[in-house]
Amino acid sequence: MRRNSMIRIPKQRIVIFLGLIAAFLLFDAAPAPAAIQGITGASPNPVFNLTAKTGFISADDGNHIFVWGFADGDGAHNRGRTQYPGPTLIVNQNDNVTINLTNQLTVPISIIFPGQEGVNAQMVTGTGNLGLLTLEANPGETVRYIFQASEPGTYTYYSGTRSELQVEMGLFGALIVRPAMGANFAYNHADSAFDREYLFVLSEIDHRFHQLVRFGKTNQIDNTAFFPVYWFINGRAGFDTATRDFYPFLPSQPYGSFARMHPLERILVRMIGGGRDLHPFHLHGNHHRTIARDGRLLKGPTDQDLSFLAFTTAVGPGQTFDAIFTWTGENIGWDVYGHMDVDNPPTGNFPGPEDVDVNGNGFFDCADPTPAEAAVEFGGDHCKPFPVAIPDQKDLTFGPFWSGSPFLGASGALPPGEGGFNPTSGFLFMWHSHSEKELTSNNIFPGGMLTFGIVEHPSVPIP
Amino acid sequence: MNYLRTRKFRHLAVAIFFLITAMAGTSIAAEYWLQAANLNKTMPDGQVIPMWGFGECTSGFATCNPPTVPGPELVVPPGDNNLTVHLRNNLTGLFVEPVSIIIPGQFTTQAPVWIDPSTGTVTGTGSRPALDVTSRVRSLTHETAPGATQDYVWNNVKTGTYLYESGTHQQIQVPMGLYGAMRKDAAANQAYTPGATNPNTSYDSQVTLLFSEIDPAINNAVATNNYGPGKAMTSTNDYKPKYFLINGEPFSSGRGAISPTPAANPSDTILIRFLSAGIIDHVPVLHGSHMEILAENGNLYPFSKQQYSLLLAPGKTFDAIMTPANGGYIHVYDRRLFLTNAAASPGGMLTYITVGAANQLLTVTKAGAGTGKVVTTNLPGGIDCGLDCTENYVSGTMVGLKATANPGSAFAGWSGDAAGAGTTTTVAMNAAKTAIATFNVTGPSITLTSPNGAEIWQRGQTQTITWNFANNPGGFVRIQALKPTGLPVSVSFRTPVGTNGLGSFIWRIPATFRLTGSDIKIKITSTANATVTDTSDNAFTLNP
Repeated sequence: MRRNSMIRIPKQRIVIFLGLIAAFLLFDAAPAPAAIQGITGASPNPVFNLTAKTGFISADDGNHIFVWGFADGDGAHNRGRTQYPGPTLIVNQNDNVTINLTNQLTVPISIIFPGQEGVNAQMVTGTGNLGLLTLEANPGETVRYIFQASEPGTYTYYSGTRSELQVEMGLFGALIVRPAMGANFAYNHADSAFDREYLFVLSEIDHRFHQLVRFGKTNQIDNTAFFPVYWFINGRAGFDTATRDFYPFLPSQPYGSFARMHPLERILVRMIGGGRDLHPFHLHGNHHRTIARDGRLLKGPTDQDLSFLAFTTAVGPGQTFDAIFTWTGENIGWDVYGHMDVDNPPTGNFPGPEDVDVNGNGFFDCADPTPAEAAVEFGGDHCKPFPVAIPDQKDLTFGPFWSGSPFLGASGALPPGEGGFNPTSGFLFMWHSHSEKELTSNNIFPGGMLTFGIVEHPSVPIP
Repeated sequence: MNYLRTRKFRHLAVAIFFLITAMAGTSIAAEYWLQAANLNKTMPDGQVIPMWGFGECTSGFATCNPPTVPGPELVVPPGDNNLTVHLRNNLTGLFVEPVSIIIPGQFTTQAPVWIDPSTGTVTGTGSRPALDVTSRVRSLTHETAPGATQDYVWNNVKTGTYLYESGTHQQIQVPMGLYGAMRKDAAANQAYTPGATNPNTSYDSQVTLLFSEIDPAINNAVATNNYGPGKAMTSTNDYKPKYFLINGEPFSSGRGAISPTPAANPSDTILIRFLSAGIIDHVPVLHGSHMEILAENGNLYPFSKQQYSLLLAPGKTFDAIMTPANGGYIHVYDRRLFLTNAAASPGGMLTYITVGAANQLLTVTKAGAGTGKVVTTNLPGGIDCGLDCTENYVSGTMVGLKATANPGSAFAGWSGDAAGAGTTTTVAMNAAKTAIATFNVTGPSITLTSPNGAEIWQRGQTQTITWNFANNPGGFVRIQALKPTGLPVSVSFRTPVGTNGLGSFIWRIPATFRLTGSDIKIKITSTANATVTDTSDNAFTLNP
């Protein structure tokens, strides 16, 4: 009996969280944040002061999990709190990057930067420890890593000391190197241009290990018995993923992953395998074009385009993928803007020369899209009516994201108490791990590695 | 049209074949004599794993090398189209069965062997026996029975990197160790015929990194004839590997050679052949640079790929090239983080590719009357002194050393080319160096090892209290149980201290023992010298 009541709590929590999501979407007038949060270094010699320390994160089933995380040692980013994952470090190509890592844990730690060449390590304070992969900081010490970020792209960083435990505990993060070509490019190539970008760091947790570390029983951990039961995107489990960045109830999980976009925009999807397992990350709504892997653009020696379309990317641990996602509505079968088969409103000269009825259905035919309309439509579906008659409300079950209308940006009649979680009437698509068991949090569905992409009407401002 | 084209190609192929054969001179076929045999592999933690491996023999099985895991690398010289493996099945022990060899990706005619799954008797070979719906395939090709010899022949060997393995009862014979690497280059120091848009297939030196795992439970079940229908372990369904190997060895700081390629020179182009004979995925990461991935499963890509990581699934092979900027060591590790030997860290799938000549000798010696050990903390490993006290390093390598004193001793400092009083030090290997670690004797000591915290015991049970001792603490000890408050309760007034530094006491906990709770500790004291004493580090639980 007691068990049952414990299971019910998370359900209530989900409802509360969903309510809060709606509340924030409706009323949260916080200043517009950029799409990818992180610490942007001062080019050309950015210095990042990171501190490794303990903290707790919140899973969506109500569990609090003890973690080791990197924090902004300057105290500015996320108020210097322990973060899971660590701060996203954003630098420019050819920057000379300095990372000072201060160890406030009780074990030696380090950071390695896969894909970066010539990383130079030295001690700032203390004697350090020559580790298996790099120079380590003993407890209380500060180690410095210096490298030139010579190639743009999406990268990851993580502990190179007893990584099987320390990555599991949370010592990992994202590194973004912006190309010389400009801020709206992922690489130095026109094919990598984007309108918006989002980051998806995928990870998992076996909370038994965290409990053992918490209670000083690290020596009882057998990493070969790794069996994760929590899955996260940017350190949050669904539906916490849909809440905004720096949401105050998730102080150690500052990064959301709610991807908002307008139709036809090029969305750069940066995917990183942060944990130990491979996660097939699946974007609903359209295929995405994978343009880069491990921080290298997929191009042949003479600029041959080696990018490819996919609807699922197998993001292996430690690997990074960049993809361009564009929601087109291609072949959706109806005009998502709801242009009707009638020239409406009548022009002042009604009936005028543009008011014709070729198909003889008694209504004047739909006008050709205006240039502004054509700019946000994929084409082919202009003026197509919604193909089914929406059943009577009594025959429907309502999801909280249903706006009452099949048209983008439009809402329709809803029964009392229904809807309301989609105030801008966008099209909501689940973006998630297609390893379906990862859509749970410690055996509770839904949760885990689950977030959303939402297509907004062009008139809806997106920060 | 098609027919004509095929004919034309066939003529061309025949012409090329003769040309190549002529060029290759005397060598017309690669021929190997392999023997499948038992071996025991000792893991760094002392666990001994019964395995089956291939050992290479001289012509006609005159003499045979001991079997190894992985088996010897099968090399087909450029220009040779034929590979013949004479296989002898020399498995012995409580459980033996037929074996075979297949090379996925290399064409040859194979006749599968069908068995009745309930009896294990062979019901047919080749296609499924007519009207037989219950037989199962045991072997993907013809078998070599225990004690017998069979030939396995490939007449059209492709270039590339391949895995060879037993094709028989693979679910246990591959975990048992019957696998290895096979390769054929297109020309000397050229892995593949260069592609128009993937031209960089030449290399100066090469290294094979073969990934695999061991689940001791399966190997032990097979070796003791406890595997199979009706036996203790009926399938490999619960495969849970505990050891993670590259080229047959898990990482261990003090163990064996530190690098699979001592020959690579700085600015050489290194070809890395990645293979997996394991059963789970691995993600090798090249530390410190990208590599150019040329080929997968022995097939050259149309375009190479720049990556620092690979998804190395079971049975996969990849070929990659990279050119190191400097001499030193390139780390390769599994980003799935199987970096332990069972629970012990570090270990697992971590290795180093040596770039440049390892010719600077580090010698570690121990001084003083005390005892202890010295191990490397970093890069190439290679020193675990007393077991292995010397190692050659590439010039310029910084070697970290850590001294650990045994009970009864204390570390007193470094001398020679190492300095400092702390337990860790660094030696720069720009010349031959000697590091001297001095251990002094401390007074007599007793160190309680169990119960040492978190144990849950119960009154009425029989439990063992264990301790270490050093430097003659006296012949007998007194054992007491105590709580944070109150007087200690005697467990034993007088127990022999033990032998060889180890002591134990079997405690039949009385059903009426006075102390219970989760805050109990054990205290052990020398009867000769009350200052020589130790108490549990943390409390344990004694339930009523």
